[in-house]
Amino acid sequence: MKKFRTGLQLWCQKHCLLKTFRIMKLSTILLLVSTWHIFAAGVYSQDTELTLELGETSVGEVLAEIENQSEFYFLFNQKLVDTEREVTVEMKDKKVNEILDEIFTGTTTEYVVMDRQIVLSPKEYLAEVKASIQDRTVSGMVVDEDGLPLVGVSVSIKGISVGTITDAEGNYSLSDIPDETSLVFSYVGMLTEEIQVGAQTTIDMVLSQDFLGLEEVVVVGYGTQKKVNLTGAVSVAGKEAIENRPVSNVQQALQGLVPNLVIAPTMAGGEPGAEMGMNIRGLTSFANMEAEFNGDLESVRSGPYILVDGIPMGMNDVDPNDIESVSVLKDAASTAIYGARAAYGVILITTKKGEQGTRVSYSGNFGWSAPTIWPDFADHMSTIHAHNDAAVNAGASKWYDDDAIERMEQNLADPGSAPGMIPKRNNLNWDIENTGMKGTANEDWRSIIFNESAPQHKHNLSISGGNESINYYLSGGFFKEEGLLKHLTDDFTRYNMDAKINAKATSWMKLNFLVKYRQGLEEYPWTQGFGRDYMINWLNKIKPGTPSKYPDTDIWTKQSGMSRYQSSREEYTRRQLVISPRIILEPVKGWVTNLEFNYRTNTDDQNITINQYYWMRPNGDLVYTPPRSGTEYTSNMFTNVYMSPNIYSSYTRSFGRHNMAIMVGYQNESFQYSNLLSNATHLLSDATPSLSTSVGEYTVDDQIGHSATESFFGRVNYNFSEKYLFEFNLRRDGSSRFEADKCWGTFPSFSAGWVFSQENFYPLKDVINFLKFRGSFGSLGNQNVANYLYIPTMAVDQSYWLFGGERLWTVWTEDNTSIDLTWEKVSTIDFGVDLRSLKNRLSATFDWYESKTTDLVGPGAVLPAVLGMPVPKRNEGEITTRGWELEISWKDRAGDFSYGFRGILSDYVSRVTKYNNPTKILSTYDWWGYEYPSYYDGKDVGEIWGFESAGLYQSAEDIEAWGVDQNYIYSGAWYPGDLKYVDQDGDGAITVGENTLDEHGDLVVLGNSTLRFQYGVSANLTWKGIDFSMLWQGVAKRDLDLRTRGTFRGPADAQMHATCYVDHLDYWRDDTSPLGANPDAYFPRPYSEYTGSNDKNFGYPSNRYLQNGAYIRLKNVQIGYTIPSRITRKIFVTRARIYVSGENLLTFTKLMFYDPEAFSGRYYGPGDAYPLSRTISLGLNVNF
Amino acid sequence: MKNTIYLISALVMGIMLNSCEDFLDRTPLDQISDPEFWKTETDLELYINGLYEYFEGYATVGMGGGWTKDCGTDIVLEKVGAYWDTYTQRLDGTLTVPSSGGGWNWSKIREVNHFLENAGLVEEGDLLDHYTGEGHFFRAWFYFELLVKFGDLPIITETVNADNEELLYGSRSSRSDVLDFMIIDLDSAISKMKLASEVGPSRLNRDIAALFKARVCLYEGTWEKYHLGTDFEGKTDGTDFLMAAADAANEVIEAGNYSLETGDINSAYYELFNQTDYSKNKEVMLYKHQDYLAYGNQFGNQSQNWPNGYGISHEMTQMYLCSDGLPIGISPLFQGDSTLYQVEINRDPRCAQTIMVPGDIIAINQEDTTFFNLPEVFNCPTGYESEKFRRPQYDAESGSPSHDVGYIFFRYAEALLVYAEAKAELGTLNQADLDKTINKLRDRVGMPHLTLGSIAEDPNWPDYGHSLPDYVYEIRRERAVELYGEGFRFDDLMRWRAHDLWLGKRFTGTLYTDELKELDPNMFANEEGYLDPFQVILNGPDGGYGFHEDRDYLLPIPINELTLNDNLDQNPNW
Repeated sequence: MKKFRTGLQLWCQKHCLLKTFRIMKLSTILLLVSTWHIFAAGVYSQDTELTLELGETSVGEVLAEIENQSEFYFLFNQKLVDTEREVTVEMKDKKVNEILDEIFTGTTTEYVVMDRQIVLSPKEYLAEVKASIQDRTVSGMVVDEDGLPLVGVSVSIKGISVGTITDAEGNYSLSDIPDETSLVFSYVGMLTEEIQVGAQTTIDMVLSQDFLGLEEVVVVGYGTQKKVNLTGAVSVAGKEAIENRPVSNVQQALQGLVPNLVIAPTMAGGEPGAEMGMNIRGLTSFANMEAEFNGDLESVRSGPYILVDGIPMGMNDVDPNDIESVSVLKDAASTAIYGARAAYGVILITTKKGEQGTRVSYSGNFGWSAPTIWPDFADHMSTIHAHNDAAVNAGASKWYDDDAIERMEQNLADPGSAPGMIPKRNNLNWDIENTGMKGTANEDWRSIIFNESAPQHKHNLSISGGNESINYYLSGGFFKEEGLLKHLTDDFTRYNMDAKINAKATSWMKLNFLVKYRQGLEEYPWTQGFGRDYMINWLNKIKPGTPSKYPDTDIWTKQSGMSRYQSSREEYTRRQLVISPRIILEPVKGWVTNLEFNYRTNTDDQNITINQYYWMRPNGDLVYTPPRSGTEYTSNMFTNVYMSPNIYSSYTRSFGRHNMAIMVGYQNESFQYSNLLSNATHLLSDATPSLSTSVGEYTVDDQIGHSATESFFGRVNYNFSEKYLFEFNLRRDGSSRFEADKCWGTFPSFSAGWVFSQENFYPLKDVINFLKFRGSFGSLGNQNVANYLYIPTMAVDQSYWLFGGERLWTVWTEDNTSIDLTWEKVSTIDFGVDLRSLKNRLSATFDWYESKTTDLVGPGAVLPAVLGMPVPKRNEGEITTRGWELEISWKDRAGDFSYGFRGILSDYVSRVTKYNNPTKILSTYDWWGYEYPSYYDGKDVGEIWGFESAGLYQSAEDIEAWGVDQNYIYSGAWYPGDLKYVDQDGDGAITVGENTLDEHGDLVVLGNSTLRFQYGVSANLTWKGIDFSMLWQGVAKRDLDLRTRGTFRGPADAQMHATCYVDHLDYWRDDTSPLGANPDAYFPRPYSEYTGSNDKNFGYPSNRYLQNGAYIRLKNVQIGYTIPSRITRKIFVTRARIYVSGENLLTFTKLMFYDPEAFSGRYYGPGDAYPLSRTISLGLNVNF
Repeated sequence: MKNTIYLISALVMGIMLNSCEDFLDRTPLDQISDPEFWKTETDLELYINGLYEYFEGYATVGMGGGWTKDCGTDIVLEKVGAYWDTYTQRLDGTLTVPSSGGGWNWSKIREVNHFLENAGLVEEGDLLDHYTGEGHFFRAWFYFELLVKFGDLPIITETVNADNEELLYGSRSSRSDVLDFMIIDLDSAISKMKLASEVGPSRLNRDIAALFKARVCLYEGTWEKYHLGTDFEGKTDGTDFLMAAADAANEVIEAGNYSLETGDINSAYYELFNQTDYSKNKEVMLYKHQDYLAYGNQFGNQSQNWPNGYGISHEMTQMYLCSDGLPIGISPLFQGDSTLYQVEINRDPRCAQTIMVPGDIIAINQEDTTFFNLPEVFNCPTGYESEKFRRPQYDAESGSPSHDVGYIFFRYAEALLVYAEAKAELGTLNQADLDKTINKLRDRVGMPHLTLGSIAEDPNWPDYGHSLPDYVYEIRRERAVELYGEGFRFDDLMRWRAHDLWLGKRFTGTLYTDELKELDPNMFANEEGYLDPFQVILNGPDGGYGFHEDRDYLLPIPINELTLNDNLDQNPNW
């Protein structure tokens, strides 16, 4: 039996109130602290015998002990009843009235016992209370907005504490109701309602959720905390913001809801079911920054630590519909209890659980998707001329000769009247390049590539219920999303099951049992040697003149890529089973011990089939590729097991106005993985790909490993009268990932809060009802590094040289790039303010923080290349991140009309405050020869260094007149249409100096790629049965350097990557171009080369080609209608709601070509991200 | 109640006591740790086998372009705009100083040093010495890659660690000293390694080490001879290196383990370069074996993409002697070269076996044989496609061109050419030397012998920038003709200090006939009507190559390296 501590407003009767009004106001405490048992219905015996052997103590202590030992609870005004008074109590087996008689004898205090409720008051007031009670009964039913009965709602007569609570059917009955009074209905998490009784004898009530509720309980690490008592920075998103969104996963639903929770697509872009990348408050590691720089977000390791019902899991392993609430713990004080896992924040997801009374709910959603942004291809003729111009500029011959241009024109005038490609003389090949260049067909590739709309649907059915001793929640979810591509299969399907049983075994022991199962299937086209999504890369480069089919056939051309991507596929099945039995013991009131065992296992299969496809020669021969022997089947199995016993024990107790809680715990974790990778070539048949039906080479490999952690943790909470709040956390973690002498770390945190509005002298209570200041400091570790870094290891592989025609085994050179590693540490200081105003309709939270990440595992010092290996990683970097976040919400109701707004705004800036780069070199090369910016002390993370451009040269005279030696950038000839660069240091030449911060030549900071001023704005309205909501989300400032991407350069790239969208036509050309002169162009003179001459304009970042990554997006808009229950009840439906919802419907951005959230695809650079979806859906929620 | 408390306490204590430090002790399960390695001879083999990967062959399948190693020199021109061969940029003098990277890469040196440091830990085994010798060979091989790019180098013989400041911030040794160091390694390799007959055709062996020693010594000998007095000079005039080159080459010749692969004079040369299996070949000493069907992309090459975007220069075609042994400028047999076909009439048979002309076979696919008709000038900027390396026999199983043509790293013919050139440069060449070297190569293709004292003066001898004895011109011609496309040309141009060959000049292709124009109408041609693919892209005088003779013989050291290490000096004039 859970006891909820809460405040209950106790008002005296009207005239009584008038008398005491002045005192009450002065006291500011209108709350009479009490507790009550919400589940206990029925009459409680006043004959219950109690034993109190307290000796000399205060009245308050005695009352508290009575509450502890019984179900009685006291209502009194602390100003009117002296609880500090000392009494001596030594009583055995006494009834409650005997005890109270004894301690209040000789005082002005009298008491009245009403069921479990005991009202204490000065005699004169109580007499009037008693006198006003008349003989009249009012009854009714209390339900929530879904029409479901609410159990345990407090129903009381306004002005006095007389009242009751609703039973398991939501019914209540009150007798002795005075005429001129109102009933007050209150319930945790619901808006309190008040209604005039008048002459009514039946009053039914609908309570709606109170998003700003003072009583809101927030899930925190290893427990819960009343929101008003929080001292850390915690943001919460409730189920109402997550349910009913036509999104494939929880991440999508959370985007824009929580300040400084950054959720952005990875290089998987908008692939069906794609995971997104996350960070909290911009906290990140060097490894992450590097991965992000490379667009390789899948290897990002140090994201937030995510726990679902206390079990570490992926955020998207949960069906969004099963979620009750999401807590985002942001500062070190809130996360320190998770120690070394929590350096980058913690997200706690709590799923729904069973309640009394049986409920069956179904929600379904059917949606249709199309790409958000896919740039428009330039028209066929312009494309041809642009490619030709680029070829001529590069000193090469034109891609399209006069004959091809003529054919193109003919085809445009009369589709199909001229060949889209012509056979070569030998009749074996066609004259178009493998890249599609030279094709002259009239195709509308956009409509060939994309579906008009791709369907998706999701369903969730849940059954929950229970009684006093047992409750359950059982839910099944299904989601299926089809990809945007028309002729290719890319699907995502997910099944979820969530089951929870809570049972009360004895009065002091409860048993919980949780089972969660998730299975997902991803199906994608696969490309040998590249992987998933390569077709997006390919489709991004298609030329509009590329013929899609061979003449007079239905066979896809080789250049279309379609047959190739249709022939090969990947099927990835992910299965996860979580089992968690738990025992909760409460042998003594307030002492709760949790014994939990968390078990999670994943069994994933990846099957890849490379089948044959064919293309057609001009002579009609079909060419099959790869050869039969080159067909392939890959079967990989990834399995792992996570096991973690958790024990934590807490003791909560109040001594008068001192409230204390202590918790200590122990946890260990072990993780083992075992992967089996196999591949076979030469499939006997396309129809049944398997290892058994392969007759070529077989390879088998495995990956096995394990890791473990062990931890002790504890927490102390103390508050005085819920006015001064303190919390202290400590965790000591050991991790197998570090050497024995470096594997233990201790992480403390401290936080405090001051509820100013509780003070007697609080001056603003008419304006701001509630005002709290918070401050916290703490330090955390990050153990999220790879296993065994401290041991120099040698990987075994097969040779890439054939010895006698065979691959032999080889052992790679030792990898000692990361020995001596230990924890990264994050110390955070946070100051916050929470306030509520205008009768709690307005609430606001503001936090400022500074996080210092020390001992960052960086790529090490910049060392001379003779080292001959990547510089060993060391714990030596330091980043300081400063940021703030603001959350404001408003909620109100006027008659049938209720509405709310919520806005979040956040920002941060990270600066490298220490890095072992004494010469402050600005850039270096990675192991594969890619130049990347290096770090140095004082560098703002995301800084983009480059050259300032002064526009385009217009003529040979202009080049002469500019007079700056630009040989450093490109030492060949410069032409009109190329970029001129600003000679910052006036030495007559563009250089990088010594490429250091002090001697940086003409390099300047052009911008910063950090997401600045992220915001989200949501609004919702309901009027009678109609509801409307929308969510806008955006970023106010961001610079993007996208010049390396083929799709950004357009025609200024080698033929493979050259593409031509409408905006690309704005390139520099003189009047020799068939497209006419364009001296005021945005893009420079294009060259049909990979790098070479293009380096003049795109070789280094320039302000001219920096793009504005700011955007604002209508993430979701939803209109729903709830069918009146008087209609639905006839078919035993308590509630039915239908709605229309749209995702990503509008986007405003200045960014060229790309979706501002998806511009980095899997294949690094070409801008080949799978587009995000714009989805319109129709949904239905039904409750029985 | 009390029982409950005991129960909980017992549980908590139980779990805590159960967890000792062992719980956190987790060692790798699927990797070998370095300290545990280095026990047996097999461990040495496992490690050294990995280094063979660094023998670069033709571009692997799917990489696009780049088939011949000589692409970007004066004898093989690349297609404009398609590739990014640094040779063209280097000859054109358009490289810039990178901030880092730029070829200044020491990872392979580290890998092999780690091997050599640990090889001594293994005490027993028949092949112990052989594998150690392979290690010494690889270190010299990797050093040579750096030497040709940067000249002077730091000499590093141990595994450098991040705290080893002496090595990290060391200075460069003179290139002559670097060579001496490489010779020590190669002498160790020669003394330790076994013969091919003992270790098989896929591994390095004693003869290969000797030939490589000859190669690097010839390189350095001629470099120091011709760059003497310039910014690029070494410590010597090159004589000692040239003698070492001749000795090492002679060692290979005298050992008699290899010989020229001969046969029909009109096909033996051609057939030498388009085989998939050289394991039984008498001449090929080391080659990269491919097996695309069995092992995929990384074990195949781009042969299906002929002509791969490059073409043989007109200037190269003019080097071939006529079949009477006289150069085309004076031989009555020369038929001109206004058509593709004419170019190989009455010429050194290697011309016909190197250049594709109409009527040559390009594909044999089961019953179908396809003959060459006209070049794809769009993809072959000079019109002269290569017949050398081209295997017409389609792969029977896949029905597509074979991806499996082996790439040759060492063949016996090179020993003959090195010996002759070294002796010639030393001025000690005699007829017997020619007869055992150059004339053996000429015999294979039925060409008249080269005879000292009766060498006809060629009015078109290339301008190497120095006046040379007549036999040196002919030995260099022989080298270009014999080794066309095998990756020696760029190094030859550099060591001969031969910038007069290309500075301010452009190389051309075949005559841009109406027939070719009809096929590809937009190509550039010069005033005489020859294809002139680089007409508008070069950056030197007269629209030719813009090489800086005081700078571009070596690559620049990256800026960062100079910033980090004060003891490092930039190469001349960068």
